[in-house]
Amino acid sequence: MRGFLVGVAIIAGGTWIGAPTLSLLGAGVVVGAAWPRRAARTVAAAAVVAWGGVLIVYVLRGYPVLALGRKLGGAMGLPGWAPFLATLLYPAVLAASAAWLAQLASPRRRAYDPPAGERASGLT
Amino acid sequence: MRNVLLTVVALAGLSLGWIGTRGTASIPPLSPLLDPLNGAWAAAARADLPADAVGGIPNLDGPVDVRYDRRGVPHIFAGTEADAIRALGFVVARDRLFQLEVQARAASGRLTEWAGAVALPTDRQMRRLGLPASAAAITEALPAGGRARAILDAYADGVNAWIDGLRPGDVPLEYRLLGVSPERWSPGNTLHLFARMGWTLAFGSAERSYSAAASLVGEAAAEALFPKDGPIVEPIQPNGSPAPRFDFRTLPPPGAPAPGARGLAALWPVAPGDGEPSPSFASNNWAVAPSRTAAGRALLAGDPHLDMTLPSLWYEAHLVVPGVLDVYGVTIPGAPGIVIGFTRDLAWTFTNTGADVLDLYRETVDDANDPRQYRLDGAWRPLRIQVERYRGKHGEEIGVDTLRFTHRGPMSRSADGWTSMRWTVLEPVLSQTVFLDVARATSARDFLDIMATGFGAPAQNMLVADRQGSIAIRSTGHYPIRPEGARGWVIQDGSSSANDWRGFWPLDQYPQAFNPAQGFVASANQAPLDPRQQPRYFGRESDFDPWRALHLNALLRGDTAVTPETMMRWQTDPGSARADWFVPAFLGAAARMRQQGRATPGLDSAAAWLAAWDRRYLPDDDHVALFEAAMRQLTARTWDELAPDGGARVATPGTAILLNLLQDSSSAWWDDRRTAGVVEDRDAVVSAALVAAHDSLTRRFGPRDQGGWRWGRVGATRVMHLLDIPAFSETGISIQGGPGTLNPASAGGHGPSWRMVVELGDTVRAWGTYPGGQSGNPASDRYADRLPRWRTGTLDTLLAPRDTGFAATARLRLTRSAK
Repeated sequence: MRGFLVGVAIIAGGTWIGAPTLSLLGAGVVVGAAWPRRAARTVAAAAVVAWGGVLIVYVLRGYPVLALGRKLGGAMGLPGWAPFLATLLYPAVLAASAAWLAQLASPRRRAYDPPAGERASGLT
Repeated sequence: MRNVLLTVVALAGLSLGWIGTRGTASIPPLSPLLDPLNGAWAAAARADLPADAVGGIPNLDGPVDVRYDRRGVPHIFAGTEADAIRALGFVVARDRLFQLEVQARAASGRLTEWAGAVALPTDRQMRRLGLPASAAAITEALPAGGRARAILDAYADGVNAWIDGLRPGDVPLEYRLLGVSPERWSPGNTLHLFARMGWTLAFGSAERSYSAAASLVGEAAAEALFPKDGPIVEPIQPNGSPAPRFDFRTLPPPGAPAPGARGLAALWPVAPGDGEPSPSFASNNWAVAPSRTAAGRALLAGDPHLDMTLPSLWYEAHLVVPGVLDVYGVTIPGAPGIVIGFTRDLAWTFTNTGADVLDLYRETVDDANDPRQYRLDGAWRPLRIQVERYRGKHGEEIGVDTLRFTHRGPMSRSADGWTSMRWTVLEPVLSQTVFLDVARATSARDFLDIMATGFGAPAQNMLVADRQGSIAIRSTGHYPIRPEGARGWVIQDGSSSANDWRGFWPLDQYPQAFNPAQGFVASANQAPLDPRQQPRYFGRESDFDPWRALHLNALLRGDTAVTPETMMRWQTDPGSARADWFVPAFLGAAARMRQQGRATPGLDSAAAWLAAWDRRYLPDDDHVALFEAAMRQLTARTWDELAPDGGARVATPGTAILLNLLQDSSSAWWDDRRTAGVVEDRDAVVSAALVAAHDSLTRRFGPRDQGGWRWGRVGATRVMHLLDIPAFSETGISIQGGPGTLNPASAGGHGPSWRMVVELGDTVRAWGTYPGGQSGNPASDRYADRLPRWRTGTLDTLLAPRDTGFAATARLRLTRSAK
């Protein structure tokens, strides 16, 4: 949970100051290194919540997000839901990739001895 | 093994980071695009203007208060004229930043820096015509410290203050889609914009149509098809006649091709399309004297017909500087002032003159492949050489041009050799402050005097009315005086300076009328002068359109108690003089064919359907489509001699010439060259056109009585986004009007771009609208909010408060900031 919260904080803060790519990569590295267990899915969820949360706030504030999504999709020759999906998938994939590579190099991963079931699934 | 696979996947995922920041040739950088706080989604958060905002502009003399009304119109209250212009630049940039830059880039031939090689032909055209070079030279020559320079600088101050203060989320959507960033505004951009307007409105080559026709049917026939004077005389400058005059004459038959004309025609190979020629940009304006209005006050109406785009060409604004300026109307983003509008004293609007202000000269050069000198009066003169470099998205060079200029203007190369061009638009004939100057005029006479000295190109039919009750029109601009005997529609010999222009028409010879006895003045792109009263060459018949003027003048002559509501209604009047003349021609031909036993059931059926039409272009009408298709068929079948080898026509005579030809039942022009051994007459061709039109509509839209022929569907117009992005555009817009009517919005997206009606008196009342909205943000409600009312011809009441004490929906306070 801590990894998730830290991920959300890094991504939201980094995006706020205008460094979206760096924040996604940074969140992946930090979470992957510090909380290697299920780091990729943790930080992916954090990215979805951070960016998707902003869209939800926009909707709640009455901003024309749905109409804009349709127009953006149309502008790119895609269906109207595609920009929403891309806005959630893109940060998730980027952050998760960074997290996966970071956890591979993490000393904490080497110190961690996962339960048998988890070891078998390979999802450490 | 699984870990290896996941690592590879992760590395692939990380490569998204690279695309995310840099983008690829076809994918814009994803992070700045998808970032919900500062990317494209931010457009949703900025769809509405904040209720209260502040901003800073360097060099501001004092605070400026901007209050937006419920229609999103900024009312700018400033202490000085320069501050009003700074604020105008700021608010235009705030709403239309992308449009400002894309227009400036298009005008200066720099689109390749955004779009790469795909934009090279467009940029090349601009630069080869010499437009950016001319604008740059004029900017350079502006005296430092002069008023013009100060106004251009003030506007740039405002635009750049907005750009400098941009937060990432403020950057318009289009920049993200293109993967580019806003560039600071240069004062010279305004001059580029004016030059491009000149190109839009005055780049007509009478030489091209004439030469193309002469190359196929000989000079005598070409002279008759593209005559100096048209057969329908209903001039802008009243000629004292209470009705139009029809000077029909016999057209000579097609003759032998004129040698050497083809190469010139290929200079600008413009495809004339499949139907009648229609001036790309047409407009209406008219004013009525108090003696003919119900309230005894002068009335003025105008609607320039231009490219309809989203965002619109126009931006509505109100500038108030107490004791100096109080002007409301529309500006073009990039122009420091109100271009069309009104004050407490007067109102004005424009239509295009269609004058021939461009001549071509065949030059003798020292080297056909790489000329450095040209021959003039027996001596070699050096060409001015200018190398133009085109840059790609990353600054790389993607093209180089060597431009050559004679003393007349830029040269181009055709199969026949080198040709130079003299064109008023390339000359410093427009005062950069003229739109601010006329806003200070207090009478129609003042307005005309200011325009006479400050406005040279593109020549416009300038209509004005004032609160004293005066109405006036003057076709203002620089019209060349050509040497005795020179024909402006024929290429001249450039080796002699005797063929050069001798100056420009004196003001008293301009087409004009001031408080004429008829009690109204009107223009709709018709020929401005009666050739019996002023025989001097002004432009070719094919550059003018008589139909709207015929209908408009009929409406004006028929009403002696005109009201503002009448004026608004006329702007979308569905009647058509063109239909009034051509429908009887179709029906007459069908009746004669029937009498002669040559009619077919198909002809009878088509004629019956056309006869049932009341000749009004109503959206729910099922008959208009047949008439329009029949006109296209008739044009194609009549002028087949101008389509070499069955291909596209190289030039198309005006519809008035077609009407002229209809008076002659056995002219050689009626013969269809595809039917060897048969000589068709008028009635056979006209009837065949009607039947073919009916058949083609049935094939395309189904049986005529099942709703598929509805004009609102067949004749729908569209308003496209500046980048032609369909998702940001409005299409399938059903309108009341069509070709030749006062509301000629076309499927191609041309049409009434700013409708305005003003009543002048002790108080001024005004109404207006345009097909779009104030905001350039596609996510905003203000992006296209005016379209539904524009479509139905409904005008909004324009609010012109004198002070800040009115209920504003949003406010912007501007103060001086550090540079």
